[in-house]
Amino acid sequence: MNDLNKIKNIAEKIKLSPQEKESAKANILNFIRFHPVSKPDTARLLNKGSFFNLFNLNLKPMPAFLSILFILGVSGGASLAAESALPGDLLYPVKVGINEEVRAVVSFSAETKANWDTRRLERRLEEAEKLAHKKEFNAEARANIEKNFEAHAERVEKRITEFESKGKADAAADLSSNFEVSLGAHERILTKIDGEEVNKFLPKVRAKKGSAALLRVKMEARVSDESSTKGKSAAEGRGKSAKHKIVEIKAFIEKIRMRLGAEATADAEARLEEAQKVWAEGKMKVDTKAYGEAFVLFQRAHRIAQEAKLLIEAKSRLDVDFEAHDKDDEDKDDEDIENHSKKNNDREKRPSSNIDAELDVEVESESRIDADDNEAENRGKGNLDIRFDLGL
Amino acid sequence: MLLLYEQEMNEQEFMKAYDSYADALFRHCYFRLYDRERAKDLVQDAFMKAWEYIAKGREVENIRAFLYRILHNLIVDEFRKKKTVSLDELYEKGIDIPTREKLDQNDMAEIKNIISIFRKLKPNYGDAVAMRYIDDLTPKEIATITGESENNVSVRINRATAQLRALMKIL
Repeated sequence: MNDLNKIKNIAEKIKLSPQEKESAKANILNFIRFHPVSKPDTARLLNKGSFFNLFNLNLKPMPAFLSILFILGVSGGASLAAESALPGDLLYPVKVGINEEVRAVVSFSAETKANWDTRRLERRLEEAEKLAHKKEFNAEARANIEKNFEAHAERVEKRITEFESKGKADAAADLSSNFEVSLGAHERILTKIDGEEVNKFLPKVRAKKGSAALLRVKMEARVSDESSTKGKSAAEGRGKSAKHKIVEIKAFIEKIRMRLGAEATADAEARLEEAQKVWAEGKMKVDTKAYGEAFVLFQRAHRIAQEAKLLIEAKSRLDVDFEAHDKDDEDKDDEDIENHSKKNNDREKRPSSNIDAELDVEVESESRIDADDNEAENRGKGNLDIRFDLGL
Repeated sequence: MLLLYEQEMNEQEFMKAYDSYADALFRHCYFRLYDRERAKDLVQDAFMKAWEYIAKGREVENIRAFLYRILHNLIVDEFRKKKTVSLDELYEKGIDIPTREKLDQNDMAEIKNIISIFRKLKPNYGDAVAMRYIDDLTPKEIATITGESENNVSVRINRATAQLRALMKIL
C-alpha cells in the first residue's frame, strides 16, 4: 500500500502553472458570460456536497478579467447572432473577424488550432453554398469568401508543414488528409449548385483540393519513411481511428435514415461499404507488416467515411442530392495527382426530396464543443494579443 | 435583479469548482493522454460543457463527479480519434512535464518512472488506477463517471492494482 500511496505524491507534481490556470480560467469565464443561465430560477448547483456550504454568499465584484468582446463593444447577444451571418449581413465581420479570431487564440494545442483552421475553411465553403442555394451568391460575396478561403487554406498548409518540420509526420498526414476531404466534399457540393459566381469560385476550390491531395501524398510518404516501430504504431493508430470513424458514421446514418430518404441513405451506405473495404485492405497490409501502405489505406478509408458524413450534412443543410457514388473516385483522384490533370465531375440534377431543408441533425462525431453546433461558441480571451481582420 | 444574483451565484460557485478541481482534472487527463497541451484543451472544454449544461437549468448534484464524467468522455473520444503515443515516441519527444516549476533530477526520474509503469498497464487499467490512486475517487464515484456498474469497477481496480504492484516490483 505504501508504494501505491507514493504514486499520488509523485503524480501531484504534474499540474498547471499559475499562468496556465489563469489563462484557462479567463477563457471559461468569458464563455460563461456569453452563455447566460436561461432559466435562472431553476438553474442551481444543489448543496448536497458539503463543499458548497462553505461558500460566502456575499456578492463579489466582477473579476478583473477583460473580455475582448466587452472592449470592442460587441455584446454577447451580437456575438451569438453573428454565428449565423452570411457575407453581406451586418454581423458577418463579427463572425469572421472577431468570433473566429478569438476562438483561434484560446486553444492551447497546435492540434486544436489546426482543427479550427480547417473548420474555418469549411465555414467559408458552407457560406458560399448557402448563398448560392438561395441564389444570392453575388460577385461581392464571392470576392469576400474567396479572400478568406485562401487565407484559411494557407494557414492550414502552413500548419501541415510545421508539423512536418517538427517531426510530427503523422499529425501532418492526418491534417492534410482532413484538409483534402473537406475541400473534396465541398467541391462536389458546389458542383451541384448553379450560378455564375459559383462557377468562378469552383476552380479555386478545385485547385486547392489538388494541391491538398499532393501535400497529403507527400506527408504519407514521410510517415512511410519512418522507422518500422514508428510506422507500425502510426499504421495501427490510424487503423483504429478509421475504424471508429466508420462505426460512427454508420450509427449516424442509422439515426437519420428516415429523414435522409432512400436514395441518399443508399448512397451513404455504399460509401461506407467502400470505406470498410479499403480498411480491410489496410488490415491485410498490417498483417504482412507493410505499415507504410497500411497507413495510406487507413487514411483513405477515413477520408471516404468523412466525405460521406460531409455530404449527408450538406444534404440536410441544403437539400441537394448527390450523384450515386462512383467507386473509382478516389482511384481517379490519385491518377489525377500523378497526371496533374483536371477531374471532370458529372453534373446531374435530381428532383428535390421531401426532406426539410434545415434539419436539426445532431452530429455525434465529436463531443467537443465546435462550430457544428448551432449554439454560440464564443470564447473570450485570456490576456493575449489578438489580431483581427474585419473581412470586407 | 434577482436573475442577476442567481447567475452570479452560480457563476461564483462554478468558478470555485474551477479553482478547486482544475489541477486535479488536468493531472487526470495528463495521465491518460500524456499530451500536456491536449490535456489543457480538454479540461477547458470540460468546464465549458459543464457550464452549458448548468446554464440550461439542469441540476448538478456533485459538480466534481460531473466534471470528471465529461472529461472522461472527452478522453475516450480522443482515443477513438487518434492513436495513442507509444512509449518510445514519448521519450523521444520529451515528456511534457511542467518546466516553470523547477523539478529536480530526482523528481523527473520518479515521474518518468511512474509514467512508464502506467503505460505498461492494459488499456482499461490505466484509467482505473489513475482514478483510484491519483484522483482518490471511490469505486462508486468511478462507476458514475464511466457508466459501469460498481462491481465491474471494483473488479477492474483490483486487477489493475495487482498488475501495478507487479510492475512496481520489477522496477
